Amino acid sequence: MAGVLFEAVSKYFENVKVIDRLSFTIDDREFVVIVGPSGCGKSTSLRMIAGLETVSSGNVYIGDKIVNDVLPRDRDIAMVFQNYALYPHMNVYRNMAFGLQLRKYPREEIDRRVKRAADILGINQFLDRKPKQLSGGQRQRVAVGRAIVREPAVFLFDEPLSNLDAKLRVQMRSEIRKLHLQLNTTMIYVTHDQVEAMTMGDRIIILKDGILQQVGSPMQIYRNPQNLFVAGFIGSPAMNMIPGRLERFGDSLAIKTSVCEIEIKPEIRNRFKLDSTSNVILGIRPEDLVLTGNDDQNRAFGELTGHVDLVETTGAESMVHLSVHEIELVARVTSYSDIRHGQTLNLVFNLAKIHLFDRDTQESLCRDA
Amino acid sequence: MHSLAWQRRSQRMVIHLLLILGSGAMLFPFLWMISTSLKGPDEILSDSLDLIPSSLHWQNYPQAWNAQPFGRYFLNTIFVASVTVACQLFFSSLAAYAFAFFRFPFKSFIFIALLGTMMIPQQALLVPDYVILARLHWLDTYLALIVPWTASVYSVFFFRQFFMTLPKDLFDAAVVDGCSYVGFYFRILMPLSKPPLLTLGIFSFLGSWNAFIWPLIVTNSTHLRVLQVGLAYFLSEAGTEWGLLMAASTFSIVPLVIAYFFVQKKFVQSQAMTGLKE
Ligand SMILES: Nc1ncnc2c1ncn2[C@@H]1O[C@H](COP(=O)(O)OP(=O)(O)OP(=O)(O)O)[C@@H](O)[C@H]1O
Ligand SMILES: [Mg+2]
Repeated sequence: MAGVLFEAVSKYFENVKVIDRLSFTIDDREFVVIVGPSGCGKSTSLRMIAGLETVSSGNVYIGDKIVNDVLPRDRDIAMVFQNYALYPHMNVYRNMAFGLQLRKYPREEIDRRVKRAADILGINQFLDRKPKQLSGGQRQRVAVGRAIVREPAVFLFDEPLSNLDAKLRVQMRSEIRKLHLQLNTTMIYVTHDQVEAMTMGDRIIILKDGILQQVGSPMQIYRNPQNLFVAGFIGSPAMNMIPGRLERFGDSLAIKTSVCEIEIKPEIRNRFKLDSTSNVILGIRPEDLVLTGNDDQNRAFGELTGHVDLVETTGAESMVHLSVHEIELVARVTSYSDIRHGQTLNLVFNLAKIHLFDRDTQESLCRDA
Repeated sequence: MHSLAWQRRSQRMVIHLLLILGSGAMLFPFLWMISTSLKGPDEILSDSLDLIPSSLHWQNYPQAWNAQPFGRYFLNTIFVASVTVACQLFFSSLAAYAFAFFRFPFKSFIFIALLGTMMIPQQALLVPDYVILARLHWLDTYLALIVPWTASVYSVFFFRQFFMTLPKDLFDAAVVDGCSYVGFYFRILMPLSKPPLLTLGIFSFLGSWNAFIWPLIVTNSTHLRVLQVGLAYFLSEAGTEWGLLMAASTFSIVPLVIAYFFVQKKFVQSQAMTGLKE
């Protein structure tokens, strides 16, 4: 049982900075997902926890011990790799037992642990098979089993599901979550898939170009993205972003965009730090763009009219892609609303849910972000 | 209508015909050698070109065997070839392990320098190698026959290419599992390296078995003679006794033929699939 702490950790590969003064805390028994686009340094971070990469500067703690110079095998961690990395010449049983044998566990203890892990993962009937004789999903289970038998303080997963097909991925996703509840150990899970991050993590760490963007629970991050990158990365379809200007008329404040003009009422205004900025980006999630049902003629203030380019339906709901004066917006609507391509629609912003970002710094202007 | 099927068939017939001709051409000298080894001197020197001897002179074999200490030569060859193969596979794979899995200063430079040595013809190295051995006082010992062949750049290269096809995660997984670097080599890497071990093992065994010039120049004593050198001495001594000579040649390849039957399938496979992952 142990948490993990990064203290201003940097990593260089031949003078190229890959991780930049990264600091975060992962609590004991927490399930934390590290997410970010390809090449942002997720694997490198995970490998530094595992001890497979050295730390260029800063400190990595596991429990309350600095582990910068501790060998991987002495870190009390286990890792599951993207391409399984099972030993091809060993059968499933030996693959799982290998780490324990190297640590000179007694034979009965090894047997007990392997059998128990096989039970948990439902791979009992494959113990004699070689990895080659297993399907991708079964191999992934064996790889997880190899980690479980070690009973480590921290589990590390590096995109363990990305080689599986969509259905199996969803299934394994919940299995890994259940496993976490069952084993009650710290788990750190790397993925580039924001849906995986949102559905699995107690908390999410978002990286971009080796720089920490935001840490928080999925809902915190979804509600209060700290910058434009996070706002665009988390959530599918992505948040609508509309460039605009803040304009003050005496006491009242309005945002002027090419799409529409919105008045910011005092109760909403308090949510933002709007002192000096005037160039902003207005963000609105697809579900917070609301159909008004008004026809074109009776357009109310703050309402906008869009031209429907495309409707994508998933069954329960539909994504309506609209264009409004060269700006593309996506609205999420229930799919029984009968909307067709080519139609014009009136929409309003759910003003309680708008996000504002500084166009220059890209940071959120929201106070509690 | 039938033209496509017919075309395929005639194609296949042509291919088979060529293969039969080719293997005939390859086999004929062997058959001739065996046939000659069973003929009497008169028949050999006669004009007859029969492949089947008119009478079988089996006594050529014991006579040839006893003319020289061939038993000793055999043991020498087997000993030298086995130790050479074992050492070469071990040292070359170790070097390749470093080149494939570790980062160290001047790695690519060292590797390219090693590859560069492959461009130097063996003959050019005979004299310097000889001088080195002389200074080490290793001439006319088993060391001279074995040590210079215990590493091979070609094998290092071949192993490295194979190792690079293995996923790097395998190494990381083993390290996290608690494997030492040496442990990885013995427990994971070598068990997975059967194809290159077999291929290189066969090649270096053949090379060692057939080596002639090197053993000839670094050894003098009869008790250190290997088979090929022994045969050469026998050639000069037996002179015109073709029957005996061919008998000796025949038994000198018998172990290879037997070994070939054991590893035949793998041998063909390893030549066809070198470098391919299963
Ligand atoms: N051994 C290495 N030598 C040099 N550069 C490396 C090395 N490993 C990773 N990098 C670089 O470091 C950066 C981060 O790599 P990393 O593998 O951590 O990305 P990632 O977030 O895991 O991406 P992905 O989602 O594609 O797996 C990349 O730009 C990569 O090119
Ligand atoms: Mg990665």
